[in-house]
Amino acid sequence: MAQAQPFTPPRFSPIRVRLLSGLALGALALGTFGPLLVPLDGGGGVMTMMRGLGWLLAAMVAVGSPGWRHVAPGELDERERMERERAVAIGHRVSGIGLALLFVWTLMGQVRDLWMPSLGQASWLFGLMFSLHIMMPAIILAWRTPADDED
Amino acid sequence: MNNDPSTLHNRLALFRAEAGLSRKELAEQVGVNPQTIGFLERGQYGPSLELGLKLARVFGVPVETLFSLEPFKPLAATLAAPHIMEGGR
Repeated sequence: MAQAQPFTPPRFSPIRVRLLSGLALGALALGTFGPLLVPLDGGGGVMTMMRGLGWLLAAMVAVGSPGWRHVAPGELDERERMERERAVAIGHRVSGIGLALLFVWTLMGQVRDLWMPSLGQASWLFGLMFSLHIMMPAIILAWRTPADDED
Repeated sequence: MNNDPSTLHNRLALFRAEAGLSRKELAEQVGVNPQTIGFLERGQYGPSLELGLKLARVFGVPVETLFSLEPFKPLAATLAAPHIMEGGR
């Protein structure tokens, strides 16, 4: 009986990562902040599709770049390993700052009259934050690679 | 070797051009991504000792011929120097 081959994730070019992440950020920003800032129906079809598209593209970026996802031994050379570690560290720090700001906001919301999201809006915001968290190392890696070096 | 690119100089592009190798071919010989050769040539990355030695082995030169902590003199000056000395004798 043939053994199952382990899943080998794709490796997108930096240009593709830049493009996909840009589209993901656009879709996520529109689908998340659009209904918060202007009187749009956030639960409506178009905005839900926007957020869904953003999450899908973010997942593609995260899987198609050796940033956030697991990296097999030997997949990266020494420079790429170093760059990845740096990108993951930066992404981790930025996400940490975002979480801290959310924490402070919710703390302050208990003593002052601040805007607080509804449960649905909170889920969109957490979705946006998670998407940013998984894309960030890939985005940093893609923009660190000069255009003339691309495959 | 040294990952702070500001302190490490190299003549990788010169040796690669002299050997008639593409970045991809050189990268395959030393087991790295071709982009890493570009980073090395631009001085944006200081290789590990292992990679430095592998690169020197490809060109058949000592590692200090390829990498230096001091800026390399222009090749023309290096080549002209013995002639100047000979002419001065």
